[in-house]
Amino acid sequence: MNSNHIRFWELSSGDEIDRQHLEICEECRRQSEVHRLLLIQLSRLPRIEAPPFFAARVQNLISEARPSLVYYFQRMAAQLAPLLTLLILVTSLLIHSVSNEQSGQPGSGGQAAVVLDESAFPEVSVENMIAMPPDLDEGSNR
Amino acid sequence: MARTDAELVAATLDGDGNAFGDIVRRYQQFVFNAVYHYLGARGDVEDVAQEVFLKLYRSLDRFDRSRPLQAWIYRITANQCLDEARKSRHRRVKNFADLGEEEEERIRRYFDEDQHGASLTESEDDETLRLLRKMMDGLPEKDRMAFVLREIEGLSYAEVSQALNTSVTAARIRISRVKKKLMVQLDKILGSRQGERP
Repeated sequence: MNSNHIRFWELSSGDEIDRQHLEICEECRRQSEVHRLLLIQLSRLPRIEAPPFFAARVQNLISEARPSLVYYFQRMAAQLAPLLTLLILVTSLLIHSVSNEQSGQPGSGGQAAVVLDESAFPEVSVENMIAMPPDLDEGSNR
Repeated sequence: MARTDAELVAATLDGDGNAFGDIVRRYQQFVFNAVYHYLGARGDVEDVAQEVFLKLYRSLDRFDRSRPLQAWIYRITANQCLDEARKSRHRRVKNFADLGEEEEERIRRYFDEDQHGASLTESEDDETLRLLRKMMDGLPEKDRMAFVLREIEGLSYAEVSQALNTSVTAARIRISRVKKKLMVQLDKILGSRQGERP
């Protein structure tokens, strides 16, 4: 088979056809005719009209299925979510900085210092826990 | 003045039901004809088209409004047609068996050069489409869809590739494959007609 045959099935409208080749190649002339007939037939295929009121019917189906108020609240919430998150973040930062200012020592953590100071809770020191009476352990195992 | 697609989408999302009606009216002809030419029969066209627009409505909040709405509609239409084909695969295999002699004769008649100027009746036109559809039988569904969108509905290769979520090259290959098969079948049928002539 001649590999120089025109590949009509790969042509798009507006593509140039090698006329010189067509003149000398009978096979391509035949294919050209088949291609032409196919395009004619495709252009003649019937077209149909959408029935009247089709759009109205679709609208009715949608309005029946639409969860009216809930749907819009959900959409509104989804749209406002980033803004609300930002607002909450800014407010909490403001509250935090105001409370720090009122305590007078921002960042020093006065209460934390008491918790870390073992002398404030001598009964729970490490030494006391090691020296705990053995009957307490036994009691817990029973 | 007519609203743009983007304006209609925005209005629909804000609850304007009439805006979606305008979208339907704007694209219903394309959807009806693409479905009709793909399925090859008028029977289920309205139901399928209706489903296309319902899916469009449900997916509007996911639609990227920076892109053209028509591309989104083309894709939903193609997907719906392919779904329908999958559902009716068994039935179609029964209906679209190999062409018989009688049907080949009908195709010869339709493609006869003497008839090019003549106008066919609606039922004859339907028959032509049915036979073309039958000649495409055995090809992958996506090939057929690509062919219908490009060669019958007149979409560009880029639009076809978007509708089928594939590359432009792949869309071109699919379309060429269908055209080649149709040409081979027609050549065979028309060739035998010439052989019969005295």
